Amino acid sequence: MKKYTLTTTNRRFLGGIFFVLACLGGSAQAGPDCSRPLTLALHDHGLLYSAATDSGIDKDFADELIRRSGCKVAVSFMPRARIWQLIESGALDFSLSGITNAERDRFAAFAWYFSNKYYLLVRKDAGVRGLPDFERNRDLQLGVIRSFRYSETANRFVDTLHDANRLSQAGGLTPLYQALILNRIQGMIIEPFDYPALEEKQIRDLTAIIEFNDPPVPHGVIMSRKALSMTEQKKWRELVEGMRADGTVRRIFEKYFKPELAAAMVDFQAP
Amino acid sequence: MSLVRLLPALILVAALGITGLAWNHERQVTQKALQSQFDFLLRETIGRVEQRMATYEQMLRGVQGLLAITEPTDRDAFSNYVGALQFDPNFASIQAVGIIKRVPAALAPSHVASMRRLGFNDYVIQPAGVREVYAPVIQREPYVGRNRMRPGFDAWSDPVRRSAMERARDSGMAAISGKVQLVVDSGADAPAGFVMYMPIYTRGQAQDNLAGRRAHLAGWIFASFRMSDVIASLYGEKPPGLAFSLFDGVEPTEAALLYRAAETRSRPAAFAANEYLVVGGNTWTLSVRSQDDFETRFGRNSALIIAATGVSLGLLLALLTWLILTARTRALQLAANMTQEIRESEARFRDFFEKNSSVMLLIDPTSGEIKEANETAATYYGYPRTQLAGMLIDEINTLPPERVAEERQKALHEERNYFLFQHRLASGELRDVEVHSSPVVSGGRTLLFSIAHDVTARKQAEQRVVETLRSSEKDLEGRVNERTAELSSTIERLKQTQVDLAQADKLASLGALVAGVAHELNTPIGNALTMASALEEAAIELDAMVAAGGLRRSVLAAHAQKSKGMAAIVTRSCLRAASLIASFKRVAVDQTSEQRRKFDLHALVDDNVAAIKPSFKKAPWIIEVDIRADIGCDSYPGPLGQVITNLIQNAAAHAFDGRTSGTLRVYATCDAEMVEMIVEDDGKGMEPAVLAHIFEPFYTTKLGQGGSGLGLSVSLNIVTGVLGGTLQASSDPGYGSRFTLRFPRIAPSQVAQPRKDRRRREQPSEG
Repeated sequence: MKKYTLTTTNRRFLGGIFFVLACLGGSAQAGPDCSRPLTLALHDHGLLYSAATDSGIDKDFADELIRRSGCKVAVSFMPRARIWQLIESGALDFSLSGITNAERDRFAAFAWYFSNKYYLLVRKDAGVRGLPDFERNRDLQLGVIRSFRYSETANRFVDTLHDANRLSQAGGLTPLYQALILNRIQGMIIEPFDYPALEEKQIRDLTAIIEFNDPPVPHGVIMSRKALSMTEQKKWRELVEGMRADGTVRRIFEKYFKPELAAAMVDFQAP
Repeated sequence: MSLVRLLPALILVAALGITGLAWNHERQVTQKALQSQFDFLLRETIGRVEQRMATYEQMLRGVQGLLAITEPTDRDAFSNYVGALQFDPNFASIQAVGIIKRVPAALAPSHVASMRRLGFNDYVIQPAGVREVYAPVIQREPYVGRNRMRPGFDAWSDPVRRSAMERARDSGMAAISGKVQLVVDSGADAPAGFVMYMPIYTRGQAQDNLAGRRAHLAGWIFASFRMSDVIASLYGEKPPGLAFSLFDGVEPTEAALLYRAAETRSRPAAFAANEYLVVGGNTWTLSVRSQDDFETRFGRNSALIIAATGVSLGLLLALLTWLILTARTRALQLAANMTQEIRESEARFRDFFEKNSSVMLLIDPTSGEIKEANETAATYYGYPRTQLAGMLIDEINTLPPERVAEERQKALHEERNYFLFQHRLASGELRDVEVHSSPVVSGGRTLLFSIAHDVTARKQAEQRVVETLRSSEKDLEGRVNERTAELSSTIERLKQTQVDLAQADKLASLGALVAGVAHELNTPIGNALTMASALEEAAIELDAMVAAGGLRRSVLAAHAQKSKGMAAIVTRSCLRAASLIASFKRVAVDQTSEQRRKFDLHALVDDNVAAIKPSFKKAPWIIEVDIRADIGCDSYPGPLGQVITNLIQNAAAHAFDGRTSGTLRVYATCDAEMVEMIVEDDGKGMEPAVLAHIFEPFYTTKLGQGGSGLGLSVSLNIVTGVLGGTLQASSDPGYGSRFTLRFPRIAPSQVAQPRKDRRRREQPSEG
């Protein structure tokens, strides 16, 4: 068979075709569809976003993403549980820093931009050195945020405790910290962006951290399948990829984390 | 352990096990379902609360929007806006919407002044005091009711409110305070309330970062709430089966209580959960508990039903298995029991049949075949058993076969069961047999069960007896005749003896009479003799005295007197003797003669009584005679007197025997033809047994004591015979006896009777 070599002529020819195609593709190729106002919701979660200061990683990311898209996106604030409900129903277009699972995958599409592991924050005086200890001791309550899911082991752990009626749910992190300090709960699951709060609220001294032996879980932009078509999703994903590629994401993370930690979170293999 | 016991037990265990598993599973499923339902209701409740708060926030955003375009001092605009919001019941929970102005200390006086100019004449910032910043409420809408309270309350002075206000300022979003008592609610029992603050920034200034927000804060708008009103407007009805409470903060303490629903629980809640809500930057704890009707509403009783059904079915199944397994055994047992009786009965019969000493056969009624024969039969007939059972009875019975068949039918139909046949033995000998035959059911067919008794000997014996009887009969006849002849002659002799005895009796009584007479005569004659002797002696004495010559007149007179007396006695005595003799003579004549004459009954009786009186002189009883003097009779006085005498003698001997007193009455009545004379006593009387026999010859109760037993018999004969009358006796034991004579005054004429007695010739009587 005759080998096909990329001669200059060929290159030009190909380039021309591509150009035509690109034009034919029209503005669809250029960016997401902005013909309607879009909605994006943030939830209060440590460094990701603080309602009190209206600032955080996700806030910065949202601003940048919106700017790049050129669309009008209304940013609102609501509890995480409600975010998932509205993503599912299609009333909400976007949210941020979500992880996927089988159920969520049915109604949400994702564009990953960071990953992290999950940790069990447990009171020292609970006498827990490993997950089995926590499971065994029926007096120990775990605090979780309503609608949150975690890594595999952590999910199993949480589900076991749920069946045993040992979960205390909350709408956000703040009450969980308060409850932990007051010993109303003895453990809660945290991620790296929860650390500063630990320092701030003097939780660090009371507690120990136990790792869930799972690989880091990718977090990403949540896109409602009902609200956004596959092509739109792709476009938005590309924007995110772009932000990752040009280091914007890293920069945002480095604002809040030490460079190594930021790197660990931002550099991941997208599944 | 046998299968029979093991298998049902296994099945029961298995059934129970399965039931247990099913029940447990069902229980768990039910529990899970309830848990899910509870979780769902909890989630729903949380959602409602969060949404309502979001709605309030939206409302405040609207106000914020208003203030973005109007002057903060345009009170009317604000008032109109709030009015336009039309607080329907959905928003009825909002107590007030208001404006707070941020007033730095320096601007405080001018603020107060401008407020006063607006019409609030006594406007002051409360609480009083100097602070860096004031945040007084300058307007409350709708301006009704409690909201008409004077403005000026410095919310910044309350730490709880201040915290929320700061959060609102910094975030640019609505913030909710902790639990507060609303300013418009005064008093100790103020309901729990909270305030939502929305920041207002100076128009046109930068608000997109924290610093900017803090720097350009103009004030706040707020909405104040009573929690109870909020909850009331939140639910049309309570969440089914649940009750919740709201607390401010993370801890469910009384102090932090914002709202508590009335609970209808009688036992600890099956499901309970505490959840932390974050609303407007503030944490609330929602505490939910299931109520009694939660389980009834959402639960199922299927676990119990499964358990009950499973257990009962398991038991039934085990029982069924056991029944099936043992069915065969039980059936066999039952059959064995039933046949046991039959077999025993069969055995008994067989024994009875085999070992019986009587000849027994089982014969087919139709064919006459001998189905079975016992040992005795074999021996008797002289055939071996095996041969005998199989022969026809016709071969044995000497009657023609048709007759035998007939008889068999009779036996079969129980018309007869006793037969007399002649059977032929194997030896050819003919024997007479008595056969008892009756039908028996054996093995489904009817056979004749026959017992035969050899009666040959008996028959012969019977024959002999008959012959003997016949000859005996003849003998007997002859002897009877002989005897009869003997008896007749004996009777004749006895009759003669009776007559002789009567005669003897008569003679005896006569003898007694003579003895009596003699005895009676003895006395007068004795007296006469004595007196005569005395007279003789007196005469001798007188003679002596005369001879002696000293006889005095007195002595002589005395003597004469004495002699007179003595002579009188002699005379009397002799007269007495003569009369006795005369009367005895009459009696004797009468007694010994059966001559008929006319006589007076009274005289006769008297005579007879007199004659026998002497013999009873010493008796303690008396005789009374009461007879009219004019009863004349023409009859036989002798026999009659004999009868009377006899009766009196009887009375004396029997009636008054052993008595110390008594009366014998003889009285008579008469009419023209008949005389009735009664001799009655009040003596011992006679028992009826005695009375029945007294007239029988030789019947006496005093045998050996002089009673011959003939007296009354003879009397009866005399009365009925010669006198032609009747003699009856009656007695009352212990009270007396009565003899009643009835005879015709004129005796019937005598018919000559053949006599073989030696009679003296009748002497003519004198009377």
